Amino acid sequence: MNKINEQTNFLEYFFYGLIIICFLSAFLFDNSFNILNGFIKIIRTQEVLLTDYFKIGGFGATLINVSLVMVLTMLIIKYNKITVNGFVFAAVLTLAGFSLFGKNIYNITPIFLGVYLYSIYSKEQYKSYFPIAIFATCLSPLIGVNFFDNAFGVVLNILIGTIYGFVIVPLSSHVMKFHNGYTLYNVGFAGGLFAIVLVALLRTLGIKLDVVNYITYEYHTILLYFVLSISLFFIILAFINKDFSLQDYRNLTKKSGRIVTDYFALFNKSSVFFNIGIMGLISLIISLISNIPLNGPIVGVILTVMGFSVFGVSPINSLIVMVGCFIMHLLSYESQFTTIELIAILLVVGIAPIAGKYGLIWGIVAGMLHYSVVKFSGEWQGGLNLYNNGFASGLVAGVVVSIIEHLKKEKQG
Amino acid sequence: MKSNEIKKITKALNELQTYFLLKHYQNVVSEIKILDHQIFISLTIHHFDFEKEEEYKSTLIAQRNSALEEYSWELLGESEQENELDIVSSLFDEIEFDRNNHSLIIKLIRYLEY
Repeated sequence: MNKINEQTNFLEYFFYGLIIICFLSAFLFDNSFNILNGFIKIIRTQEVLLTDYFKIGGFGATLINVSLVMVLTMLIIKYNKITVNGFVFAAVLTLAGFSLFGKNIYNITPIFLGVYLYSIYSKEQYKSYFPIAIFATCLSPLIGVNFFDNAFGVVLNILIGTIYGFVIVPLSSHVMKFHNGYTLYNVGFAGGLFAIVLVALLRTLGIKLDVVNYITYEYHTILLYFVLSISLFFIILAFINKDFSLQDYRNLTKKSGRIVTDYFALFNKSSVFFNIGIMGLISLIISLISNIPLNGPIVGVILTVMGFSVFGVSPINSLIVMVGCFIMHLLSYESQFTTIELIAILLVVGIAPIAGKYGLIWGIVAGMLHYSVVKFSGEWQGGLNLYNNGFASGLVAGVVVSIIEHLKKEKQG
Repeated sequence: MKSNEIKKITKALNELQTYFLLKHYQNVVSEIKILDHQIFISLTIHHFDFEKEEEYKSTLIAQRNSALEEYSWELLGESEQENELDIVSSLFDEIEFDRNNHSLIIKLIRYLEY
């Protein structure tokens, strides 16, 4: 229990540190007037994929948004006495990352409320569902859909967001069996299914929903230093802790990563810190090689990869699916390589467990299929699901794993 | 008791039974008792290979976590994945190991008010 308390305390302090850094940096690099103006723009914008808040609201406002989102989340965590384990760490760091391009203090709140109402309905504690609530904010753009340009429209948005929050817990539980835990983005997959049905309904009623691409590259240098600093921070932390062992880390990388693989529960914390740092560096190097300047979405996605580096993602299983993804890009008829393609290659790590369990060939096949599905599935969801890669990964994992398992049974039979 | 609660413990027990049967143990006896404030499960694996005891002890460590439990309990059941024992671990407050002659007895306790 002491080890768990120690680990929880450290992870909490990490998040507090991140909040403070974001808050101070906002005022260091921007002024109050810009921040306020920018923040209002962020709240009022319709955040379908891809909407880089650095472009919409500017640097300071975006960082204030990240701070506020994390403050709200950490307050709920503390109030409900939620243990910050690997699962919660992945959720909160993902939330922080996506607060750079789609999640804000206004559009996540109805979803938190909906999940809270579900916890009352099911007579369970909110702490049992809050990590799911955090991931469920993948559909926060729903709150910004322009039904009516008046107060009634706002109320409708909040109501739909709350209803979604209410149903996402049972939905995400139910869909887990489809992919059997071979995508780490289960809630993103469930959210995507909800989004597809909802978008079909909205389009039938004449509401237009299109994928957009609002990105700025003007903060590349500062974002580079930010990601590099966090990655190196975890690597240095790994070596400062006296329990770092290469053998323990090797054992970590041998795990398939399938749900539930909480590395903090299974290995020395030094190995986990090292893994976070390494995955951050790998993601950063891939981004730099791609020659696409860092922006809100890319940095948000790198933070997501780092978050999941405590919950199933490690270099070996990840690189295999990333290679598959890249191969498919080379084979595709479109030669352009933009932020969207880079995000697919980074976030394909969600199906890293397929490579971890079934090996190189199936991992590459899964990576290739993931790339293809991602290219089209955003449009199916009207750009409303920030975890488009999550949805694609669930679909691919469900199809691929069922085929693999069937072939295995036939071979054994 | 809620039906979900019953489903979770029966799935956990099914998972453990399947796991040990797939390890070629041919005599696995299980028991469930629902008491006032807790659920007690015991699993007795006869003719147990005690060289493997430490391996199971390191995998089955009680670490009840309601969030992980809600997220992943549907994965429990009849598949052959070792990491489902991690999910089993997240459902119980206490897990103990005892020996009786050539048998290993695993006792799992889940408190009803958590």
